[in-house]
Amino acid sequence: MKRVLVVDDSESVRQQVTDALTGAGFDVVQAGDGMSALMRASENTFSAIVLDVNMPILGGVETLERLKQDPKTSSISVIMLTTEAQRSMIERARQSGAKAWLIKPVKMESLVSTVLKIAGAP
Amino acid sequence: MVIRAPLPQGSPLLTSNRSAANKAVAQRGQLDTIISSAMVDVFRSCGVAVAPRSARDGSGDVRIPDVSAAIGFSLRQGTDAKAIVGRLTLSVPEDLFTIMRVQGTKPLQLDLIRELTNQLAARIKHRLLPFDAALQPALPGLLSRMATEVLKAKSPGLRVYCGRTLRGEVVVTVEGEIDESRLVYSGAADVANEGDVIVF
Repeated sequence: MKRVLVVDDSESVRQQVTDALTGAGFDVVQAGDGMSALMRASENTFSAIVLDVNMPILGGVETLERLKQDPKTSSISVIMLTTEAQRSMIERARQSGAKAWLIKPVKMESLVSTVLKIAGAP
Repeated sequence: MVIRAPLPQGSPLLTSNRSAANKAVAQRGQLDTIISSAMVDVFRSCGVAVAPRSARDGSGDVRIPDVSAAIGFSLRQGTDAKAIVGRLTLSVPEDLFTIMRVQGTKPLQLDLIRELTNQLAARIKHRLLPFDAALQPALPGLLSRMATEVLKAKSPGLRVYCGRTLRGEVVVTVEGEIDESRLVYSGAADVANEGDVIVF
């Protein structure tokens, strides 16, 4: 079963995304900030990471950049899920290696289909 | 912190300069429209219809609902301006969670109001960008009803926005010295839309 790491400081968002991805057949692990995400990502094998941007301790774009710099985590597909919508920030994430940018509030069906497209079937 | 309203409270047209007053009223309407429409859209995304009431300053008669969250922000108007700081709050009646598309246990409901406040701030931020106003929200946190009431009572210039729902009123407050005379349309901002899915 493919594993997805869901990173968001909002527990309600984490739960919504977890429910949707679990329903689609993925195994889901959660993290509440960027630093915890880096630790989880280096400890486990993930097919994809769903990553918020505005978080305490370490923000999402910085987390993305660190994931891509680490050979152990650089191949994980990262999907940004955020309220941020400025093209300059979206472009920065694209250049840093993100696979997709989803702007909250997003339909859970759209999120699941994006994860399926990027990570493949569970 | 007091909002620098373009007109004295309660006497919007009592000025010798009628055209300046009209301009100020128009600008005031612009900010009110941005905040009210953002409030309506945030709740629409949760399946809740909100009918906004007219905006007022420091309304003493508005009752703050049960659950509140606040988010601090900085706002820079124009490229050379110094950033000001402010705070946005969102309060909802507890019953509202029963008709929201997203439901959950009590802790999740409290977290949800934080998240909705975050989304509200983001919508306002994106809608201010075409007016050369860069709002940078911080991270949201929960606020007790009493703290929200105190904030309302202590800030005579506080902007208060109310909206009716099937389960009571939602209330948004905005605190900060926003210079509305500088809210001038400067062209469409390069911003994607809420709900967009962008695959690279």
